Amino acid sequence: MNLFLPSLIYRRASAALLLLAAGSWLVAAEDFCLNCHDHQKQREQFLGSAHAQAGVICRDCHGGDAKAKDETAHLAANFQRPDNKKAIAAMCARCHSDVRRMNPYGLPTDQLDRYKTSKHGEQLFGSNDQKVAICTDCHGVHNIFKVRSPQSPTHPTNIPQTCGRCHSDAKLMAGYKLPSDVVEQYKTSYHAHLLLQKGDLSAPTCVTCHGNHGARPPGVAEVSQVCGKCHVRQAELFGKSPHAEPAAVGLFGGCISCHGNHGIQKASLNLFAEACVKCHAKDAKQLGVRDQIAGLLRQTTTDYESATAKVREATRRGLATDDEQLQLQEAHTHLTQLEALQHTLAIPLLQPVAVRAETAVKETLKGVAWLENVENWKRRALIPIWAFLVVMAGLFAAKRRQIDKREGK
Amino acid sequence: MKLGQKIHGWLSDRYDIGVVEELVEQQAHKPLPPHVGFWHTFGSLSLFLFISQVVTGIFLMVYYRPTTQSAFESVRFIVTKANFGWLIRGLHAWGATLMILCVLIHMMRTYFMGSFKKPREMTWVLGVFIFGCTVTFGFTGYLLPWNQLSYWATVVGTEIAGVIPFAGDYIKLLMRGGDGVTGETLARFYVLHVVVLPWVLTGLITLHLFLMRVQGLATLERVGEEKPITKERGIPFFPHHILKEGVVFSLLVAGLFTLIVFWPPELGEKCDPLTTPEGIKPEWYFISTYQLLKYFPKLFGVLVSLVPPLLLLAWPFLDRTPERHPKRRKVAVAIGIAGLALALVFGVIGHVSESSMTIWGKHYHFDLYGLPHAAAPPGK
Amino acid sequence: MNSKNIHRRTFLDWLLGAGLVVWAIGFVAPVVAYLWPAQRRGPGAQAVSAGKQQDFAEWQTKIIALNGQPVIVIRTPQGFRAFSAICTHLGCIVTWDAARHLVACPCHAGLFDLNGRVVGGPPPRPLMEYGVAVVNNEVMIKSA
Repeated sequence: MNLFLPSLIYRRASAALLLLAAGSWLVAAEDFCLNCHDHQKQREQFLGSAHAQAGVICRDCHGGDAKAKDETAHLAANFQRPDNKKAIAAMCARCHSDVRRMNPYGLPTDQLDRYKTSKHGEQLFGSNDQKVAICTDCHGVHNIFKVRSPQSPTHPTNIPQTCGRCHSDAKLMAGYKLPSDVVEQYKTSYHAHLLLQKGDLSAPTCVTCHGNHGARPPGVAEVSQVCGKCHVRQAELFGKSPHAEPAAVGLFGGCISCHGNHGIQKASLNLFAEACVKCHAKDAKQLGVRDQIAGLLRQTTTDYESATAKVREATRRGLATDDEQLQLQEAHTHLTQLEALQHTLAIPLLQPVAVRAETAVKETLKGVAWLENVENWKRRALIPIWAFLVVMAGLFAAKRRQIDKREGK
Repeated sequence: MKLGQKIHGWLSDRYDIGVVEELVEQQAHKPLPPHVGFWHTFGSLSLFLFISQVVTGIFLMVYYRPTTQSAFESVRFIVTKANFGWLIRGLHAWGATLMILCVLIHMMRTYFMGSFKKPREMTWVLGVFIFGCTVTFGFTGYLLPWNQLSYWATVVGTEIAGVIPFAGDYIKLLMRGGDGVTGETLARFYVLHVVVLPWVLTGLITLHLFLMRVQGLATLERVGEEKPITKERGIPFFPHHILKEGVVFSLLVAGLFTLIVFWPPELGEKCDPLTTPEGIKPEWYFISTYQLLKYFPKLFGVLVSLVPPLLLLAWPFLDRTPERHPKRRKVAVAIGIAGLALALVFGVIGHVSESSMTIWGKHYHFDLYGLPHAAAPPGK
Repeated sequence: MNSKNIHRRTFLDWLLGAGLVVWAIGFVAPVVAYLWPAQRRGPGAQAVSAGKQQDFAEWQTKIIALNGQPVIVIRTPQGFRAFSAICTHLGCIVTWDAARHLVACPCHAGLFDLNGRVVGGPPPRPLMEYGVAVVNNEVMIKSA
C-alpha cells in the first residue's frame, strides 16, 4: 500500500513519463519481489527494457511465489536462477518458443531450433561447452532491447562489436582454432564503411551472411547463395558462367575467391590482375580471356571517365552540356551493366554492351566537340569585329587629323 | 531637316530653349588644356564602362533570379540558353574588371599630373569615393553567380569585417543577414548591387563631372599661376577631343570582345556551403590588400589595410605644394611609384601564395605568406 | 582645291556616319535576340512537355529530358505517372518492363512498381516522382 500510492500519483502526474512510470508501477506493484529484495541494479536495467514495456515482470522468468512468506514456498513455486547456459536457453524459450505468446508481438518462435543448428548450439548441446554464446550473451540480461533500438547490442551497427566480444578474443578463439581478426577485417571492408560511416542499416553485418541464431560459416557451395541475397544480378549472371559448376560442387569458393570475405573491398579492375592467377596462373588460354574482358572494361571505363571529365570542364566553363550529360548517363548505364555482365565471362555478351557504351561516349565527345567548335566560331568572328573597330579608330583619327590640318595646327 | 526644325520650333514656342542650347554649345566647344591627350581619355572610358555596366546589368536582370535555388541555374541559363547571353554576361564581367582598371589609371593620371591640387581637391575626394563604390560593386556582384569561388570569396571577405573591434560582429551580421553566407546574404548583395550602388555611383559621378566641367581641366602649371585657356591655345572638347576618345573607345571595345571570346567568364561549380575549395582568393583588385592582411594580427591588419584608402582621401590636403608638372614633383612621384610598386608586389605574392609552380624544372609550393618551399612534383 | 577638300570631307563623314550606324545595329541586334525568349519558359522551366496525350497508348512509356535529367513517363489505365529515370542504386537509366508492368533497371535488376517503390533488387530508395498534368491534350511533367 505504501508503495502503491506515490506510484499512482506519479503515473497520473506525468504523461511524458508514462512508459517508465507504467514499468515502474508494474514492477513495484505486481512484482512483490522488490518489496523485500533490494535488486536496485537489475531493477534499473529492467525498467527501460523491451520486456518491461511488454509488461513482463520478474516472476515471468524467475518464477517463485512472492506472497509465500517462507523460503521453501518461494522455491516450491518453481523459482529459478539459471546457473548454466542450457538453462538460460530453456528459460527464454519458455516464452519465445511459444507461438501463442509470441503471436501478438509478431515475433518468430524458432530461435531455439535455429540455435541448435548453429555452431554455438552444437557446442552447447553437443558437448556442453559453457563458453559459447547463448541468448543473453548477445541480447543482454535484464536490459534487453528490441533489435531496432540503437541501444541494443543486436542493432546492426552494434553487431560487429557484439560478435567481436568473443570473436576478437585471441585466447578464446585459439581454443577453437578460429581466427580472431575477422571483426577487424570486417571493419576495413566496404560493407562496414556503408554500415558505420554512411549509416546504411541495410548493409550486411556478421549476421547477414552467417545467420544470427543459426550462426555458422556458409559452406563453400553456399557462398553464392549468401552473397546473391543482395547481389541478385551478379549471382544470376555468375550462375551462367563456366565458374558456376565448380562453385556449386564446392571446388572453389565462388564470389569470395576473387572478392575476399570479411575484408571485402569495392571491386576494382585490379582484381583481374590479383584474383585470376590464384587458380589460372599457368593457363595461357584462360588468362587470354581475362585480358580480353579486363581490357574491354578498362577501355570503356577510361573512355567514360575522360568523357566525364571533358563534360564537367565544359559545364564549368559555361557551355550548354545538357544533352551531353544525358549521353553520359547512358554511357554510365552501359558501363555499369558491363561491370555486372562480366561475371558471365562471356565475351559475346559483353561485346555489344561495350560497343553501346563506347557509342554513347563517342556521341558525348561529338557533342562537346561541337560546343568547342561554336567557341571557335566566336573566335573567328573576332576578325571582322577587330577589322571594323580598327577601321573605325582609323576613321576617328583621320577625322581629327583633317580638322587639325584645316585649322593649321 | 524639316522635321527637326518643326520640333525645334515647337519646343522653343514653349520653353526657353536658347539657354539650354547655349549651355550645350559652350560645354561642347569648351577648350581643353593643350596637354590633354590619351591619358585624359580614361575618365570618359570609365564613364562609358559604367554606362555599359548599367545597360548590360539591366539585361542580365531580365533572366537572373537572386535566390539560392536558382541563382546559379539562372546564370547557367543566361550563358547557355539565352541568345547572346554569353556576350551580355561577358561584357558585364569583363566590363567590371576594365572599369576598375580604367578608374585606377584615371586616378594615377590625376595623381602624377597634379590635377587634384587646389582648387580641385573635392573632385579628387569624390573620385576616391567613386573608386570605393566601384570596388564595392565588384565585391557584391562577385557573389551573385552563386558558384563555389564566389561563395567562398564572400565568406572570407565578410569574415574580415568581423575583426573590427566592438562593432565587427554586428557589421558582419548586417552584411551577411545572418550568421553565415546564405540566401539572405545573396538578397542583400543583390539589392546593393542593382539598386543602391547604381544610384549612389550615379550621384557621385554627376557631382564629379559637374565640378570638372565648372572648374575646367587642370593644366600643368603651378597652382595660382594657371594661364587662362584661350580658343587658340586649347583643344576644343568637341569634335577634337571626342574624336581622340573615339579612337581609344574603338580599341577598348575590340579588347573587350577579345577578352570575352578568349577568356570567357566561367560558370564554375554550384556553391556547396559544406565543401571549402582550396586556395580561395578574392578578385585581383582586392588581392594585394588580402595578402597584406595575412602578415598582421587580425585587428592590426585591418587598421593597416585602412591606411591606403585614407591616405588617398587625405592626399590633396597633405600635398599642398604648388607644382603640378611631374618633373618638378620628384618626391611625390617617387611616393606614387613606390605605392604602386608595393601594391604590385603584394598582388603578385598574393597571386602565387597557396599555389604550386614549376620554375626552371624545380617544383615549389608557395605557402600562405608567399614563401616558396621545395615540393614534390605534381601528380605524386 | 577647295571643292576637292569639301568632297574628301563629305566622304570621310559619310564613312564615319555609316560606321556609327553599323555599330548601333551591331549593338541592338544581339540585345533583341537576347530578350527574345530562348525557349517557351525561362530559366528553371516549371514544366516540360512529354508529347501529346494520343501519342501514348496504354502502358506505353517514354523517357524525356527534364532540366538535363532523364524522366520516365508511363501511361497507366489510371492516368500518367512520371518518375526520375535514374536508378537510386548506381544511377543507371531505368527501362520499362512491359511484361511485368514494372520499371526495371538493366544494371542490377532493380525493380520499381508504379508508385516508384522498390519491389526487387538492390535500390535503397524509391524513385522520385514528378507531377504530371494533362493540359490541352499536352502531357506536362512538372519539375520538382
